[in-house]
Order: sequence, then C-alpha cells, then structure tokens
Amino acid sequence: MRSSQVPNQRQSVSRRSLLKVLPLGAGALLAACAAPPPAAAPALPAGVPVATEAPAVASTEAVTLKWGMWGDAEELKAHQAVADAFTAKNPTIKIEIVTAPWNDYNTKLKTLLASGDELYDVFWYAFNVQALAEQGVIENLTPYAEQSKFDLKDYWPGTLDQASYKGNVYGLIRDAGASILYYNKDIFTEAKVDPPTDKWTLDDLKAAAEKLSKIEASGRVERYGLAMEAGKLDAFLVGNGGGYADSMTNPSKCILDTKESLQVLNWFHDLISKNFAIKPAALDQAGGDAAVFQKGQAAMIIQNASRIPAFNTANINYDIAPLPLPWSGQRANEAGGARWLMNAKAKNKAAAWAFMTFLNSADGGNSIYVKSGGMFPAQKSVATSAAFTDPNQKPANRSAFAIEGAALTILSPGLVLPAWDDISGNIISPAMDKVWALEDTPDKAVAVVCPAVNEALKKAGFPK
Amino acid sequence: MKWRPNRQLEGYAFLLPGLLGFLVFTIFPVIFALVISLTNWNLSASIFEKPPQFVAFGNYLDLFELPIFKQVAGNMLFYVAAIVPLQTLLSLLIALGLNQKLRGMKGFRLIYYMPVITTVVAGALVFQLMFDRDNGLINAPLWWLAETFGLKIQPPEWLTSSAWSKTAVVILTLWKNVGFTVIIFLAGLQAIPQDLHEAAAIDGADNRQRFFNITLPLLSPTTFFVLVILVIGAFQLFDEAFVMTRGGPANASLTAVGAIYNTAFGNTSRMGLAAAMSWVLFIVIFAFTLLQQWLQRRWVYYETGEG
Repeated sequence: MRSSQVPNQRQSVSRRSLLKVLPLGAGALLAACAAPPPAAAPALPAGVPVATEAPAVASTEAVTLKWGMWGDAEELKAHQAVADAFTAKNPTIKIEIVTAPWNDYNTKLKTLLASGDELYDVFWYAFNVQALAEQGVIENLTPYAEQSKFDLKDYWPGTLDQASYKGNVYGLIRDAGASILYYNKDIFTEAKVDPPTDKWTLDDLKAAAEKLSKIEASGRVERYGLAMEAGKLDAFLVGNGGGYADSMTNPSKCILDTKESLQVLNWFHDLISKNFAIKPAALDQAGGDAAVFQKGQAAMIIQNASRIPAFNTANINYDIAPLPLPWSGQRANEAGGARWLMNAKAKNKAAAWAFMTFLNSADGGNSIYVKSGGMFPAQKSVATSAAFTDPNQKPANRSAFAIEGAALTILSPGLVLPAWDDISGNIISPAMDKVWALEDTPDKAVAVVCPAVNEALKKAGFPK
Repeated sequence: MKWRPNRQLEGYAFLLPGLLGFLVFTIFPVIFALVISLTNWNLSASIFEKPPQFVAFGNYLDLFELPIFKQVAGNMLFYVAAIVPLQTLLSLLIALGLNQKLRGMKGFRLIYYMPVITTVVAGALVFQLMFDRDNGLINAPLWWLAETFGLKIQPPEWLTSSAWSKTAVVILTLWKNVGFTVIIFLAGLQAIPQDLHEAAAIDGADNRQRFFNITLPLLSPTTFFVLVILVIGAFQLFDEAFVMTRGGPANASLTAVGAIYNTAFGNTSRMGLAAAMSWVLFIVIFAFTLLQQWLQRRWVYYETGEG
C-alpha cells in the first residue's frame, strides 16, 4: 500500500497546510514565554483553534530550522537529501544540519541542555525520552498530531510507547530497532544446512550453529555459527515469557530468575561454552557482528536492519529471516528506535512540526531513507510501500520485517524508565558480562542479581 | 617628567593572559567541580533554569556504596602495582642500553620514543587485533604448539576474560609510555659526571659495583621524579582501557577515570556524583604523592647534600 492511500498522512507541506499548523506554533511560543508548564501538562492546551491569520513566521518569510543528528558520511548524505527535498517543496524553510559522531552526539546534547544553550529545533535522540519530557525540554507532539490529523495509528503497535510520557507522544519514530536473522547462504550450502524459515525455533538455530561452526582440535575457532550481541537476547527473553522485570513502566521485581528467563539465558550460555557462538565481548573486540559476518567468521548474526547497506555494498551472498521462535512459540521484538524530538523552545514550532511530518511520511523523508536502506520503518505505510518492499533489492526475504513488525514491543524498562539505567548498568550488565565470559553460570548469576535488583527497585520507590 | 607605569603592575600585566587562562580553565573548573559534587546535578536540564539541589556530602557517601567502588579500587591498585615498578624498571634498562656510545643509537632512541607520539587509539586498535583469542599474533605461537604437538594449551583470552584484561591494558600502557620515561632516565644518566666512573674504575670497581654505588644513587632524584609521575599517571589511566576493553568484561579493567566518565556522561549523567568521584581520586593521588615525598628523604640522594 502506498502512503498516498493513508488518508490522514501528510504527503508534503503546502503553504496552505503550513498555515493551518502555524497558529499551533504561535500558541506554543506564547506558552513557552509564560511560566514553565508542569511537566505532565501538554505544551499546547487542548482545543487550540486553527487561527485564520498567520503569525509572524508566515510562509513568505524565511525560516531556518536547526536539525541535529548523529551519523557517518553515508547516513549524512541521506539526511542531506531529505533536507533538500523538504526545502524544494517548502522554499521558505531552510534546514541547517548539525551533526556529530555517535559517540559525541549525546554528550553534545547534554552539554547544550546543561548550559541552557539553544537546542536544535528538531533532533534525533536515542535515549530516555521520558527524562527530557519530565524536564520540559521537549515539545508534546500530541496536540500537533491531533490538529494536523497526523496519523499516529500508522506506527507499529508498541513503537510510540518509547516516546510517550503520561499519555502524550513526545517523539516520532523513524525506524524500529527490531532484530532479524542474517545468514550467509554460501556457508549454509557448504555446511549442507537448510536455510532458516519463519518456523525456526531456538533449538533449530542451535543445531544449525553446531553444523556451521568450524572448530579445530586445539579449540581454536575458525568460524562461529552465530555472532550476537548480548542485548539481542532480550527479544527471546520477553518472547519466552521472561525478561528483566515484571513491568516496563512500574516494575516491582526482577524476573530474570524465572524458568522462562533462565531457559533463554542457558540456551545462549550453552552456545558460547560450546564455541558455537562467539562471546559478546570477543565480538565487540573483533569489530562487531558486521565485521565478523563480512569476513566469514560467523555464519549467522542477529541484528537490526542497519547492516543491510554494508552487506549489499560488500556483495555478500546473504538473506534474512525472522527471528527463531522461543519455546513459548511467541514472538517479541525491539520496538525501540531513534526518535525525532522537537525542542520545547524551538523558535518556529509550526515549521518544525511541518518538517517532522515530512520526515515521517512514506513519500517524504522516509521514501529517501528506505532507499538508502538500513532501516525497519516504524510506520506501517512505509514498511509496506513499494520503495521498501521492492523485490529487486537485497535482501530478498523482506517479508521477514512484516512478521517481526507485528511483534514489536518494549523489551527492557530502560527504554521508558530513567531509574532503570542505574540498575541495569550497575547490577545486571556486569553480572551478565561474567556469564557471557563463561566466568559464571546463569543460575548462579541471577540468584545474586535478582535480590540486588529488587532491593534497588525498593530503594528507588518502586512499584509506585 | 615622562610617565612610567609601576614596574610591578607592568609585570602583572605580562602575567595576565596566562593567569586568566589558568583561572578560567583550571581554577574555576576545580572549584566548580567541588561545588557540584555537593549537588544532585544530572545534566538533563539547564543549571540556571532548574538549579540542582544541595545534597551536602550525599554523593561522597553514595560513592562508597556503589557496586563498582570496590571493583574499581581493586583495579586501580593492580594498575599502580603493575605499571609503576614495571615501567620504571623497563625504562631504566632501556635507558642504560641507549646510553651506550654505539653507532645508530639515535635511531634506537627514536624507535623507543615513537609510541609516545602515536595516537593511543591507533595503538589500542592494533593491540586489539594482536590480542584476539583465535587470530591474534600473540596467541598464534600457542595455537601452533597446541595444533602441532597436540598440547593441552588454552591461550589467554586477553580482552574478554576478567583474569587477563587488566594485564592486556598494562601491556599496552607500557608500550605506549615507556619511551617517555626512557628519555627522562637517559637525561639523568647523562648528567652523572663521567669522572666519578673513571675514578671508581681506577680504584678497581667493576661495572656492577659502579652501577649500584654511583649510577643508581646519583640517578635517585630522577627515579623519584619518574615514580611520582608514574603513580599519578597510573591513577589517571583512562584512554588505554577505554579504547581497548571499554573497562570490561564486567568492569574487570575499568579505571577510576573511566568510572567517572561513565557516571558523568552515561545515560543518567550523574554529574554531582562524578564530581565527588573526581575529588576522591584527587585526594588519593595527593595522599600517595605526599607519602612519596615523605619517603624520598630515606632514599633519594642529592649531590648538594640535601635529602
């Protein structure tokens, strides 16, 4: 289905449509000039009327929006193309791209926030949106969406939860971080292993990994069956009915020690101990899953869509498949992804919103992004658009994305709960690192981790 | 009469540019860090619009309860105990070698100094490859022995095991920094009057006796200086571990400065706590330096008769 068939989705920003939303910006500007609103209150009062006269930022006046994001040179090319396409349709709104490498971007944003300096009008953010919403530094987008009839239901279920705070949406998601299974077709053929199907289970993957691994008598591993970051296990934990905590937003206890969680943890621990999967820390040292997959040092990886452009450029003979099913038979996959946010103090919020809706449309910004590859669109209209499902582009089995799209959810409280970061960073991650380094077993580790997590939750006042 | 400004004022005017820089970029951050260490500032909002709350010594008390506190303290003791003696000994031995009057010695000095001017990131990335369990250069001979002779050898997992990751960081640190202390020792060796060696040789002292009775005592001020900067440097270790192991696995190689960085710029950005950690680190380094200063009276020999 092309995006034009989505009735409420904005396709481009005409002057008339821009004028419709400009009063929203004026209202927000006035609200911003007044005393700061309570954190929970939307930035715009409900029922703001569509004004008949344009405020000072009329479309005939030049507006420049600062647009912040991280990215490498290739990614920035796509962002620049999006900015150019927007300006071509809206000549009075210029887009000034401000960028930093991934490692520096968050530090730069935090420094701007802390110093009280001007933030970017529209910016990408990969961390806890709720913390920013609570501080009132980002704009509540729900009133804008309602006024301009932007279709929030077009997003895969679960994707907007990560950018919501007290029932309001504060960020629009470009793509979901959902993982898929990449496999090297040549290695599968060489090892005489049937390619994965959408019925594959974790036991099937383990059996395949055993056949695909090449281990010398000395124990030196020439090729691993699977290379997977430890964080990717979250999809199987939640899918199997386990996970980190009993609630993503208001946890009362750790559930890593449940039978369902331990089944998944032991599965991965067993794969590593038998050298069928590379240790996550070793994977990191080896340059990450893309590097080992490209070098043929791993037959399968589990990762989000971001690897597709690199594998296509390297001309690897690969394809993708949905994630293997855990023993529960239920799928769960990562809804989290980078979010476009609007600065609560943006000088021209109407123009910023116009740009955000352009970014989040199947024939606007997203049509350019899907061509550059490497993303799993968070909007159904984009994921089902011809640009994305084009069968002539690699990987061939793009239907895997639609299967995972229906299973998107929040896999860890960290995505929505600021207090979880400390618990995860100080208690869970170090303990699980030891498990994946084969210096501890899952059973022994969770026996220590869960009481510590429960204690930390209690100390932080959970459940609320 | 021609007006002449006060000579002292003139002097201060010349000092002003440097003094301003020192005040703005050194003194102010130090005082600011002390102030924010008493608050709960977390970087998520402007310090001017939403001033952080005063928590007195809460951050200092929290610090000792952090799960990583004991781990990082243990790591730092390991780093100091390994790097300081090893680098001192290694650089002294290399400096003695480079102090010989042989052809091509300047070339060797250059070679030993090159890692110092190499970017630590580049060095760390090369070492990362060398330390790889299966394909690294360092484990290659062990794998060869295991394969060829069927020996039951388990080569170290340098970067992915708690047992070896700190050792890997120490090796990289030594490679990177030994050239610097070699230069200092070399300068110290060349400052030792040659006539003392000649007089001792005439009196029948052999090389060993001359080394222990002339070279080492006269080199003691240099050794003291090297020890002081190495202890400070070891406590401030960051880049090598941050790039090569990211402090892992399970914080096994995490340094104090790495922990401060993670606390300040991690997801929760607890600037107040990070500032408190910085002050505690400063106090520890200061205490060690005072201790060294006190101990030096017992073993450092100054030709002027002091010490």
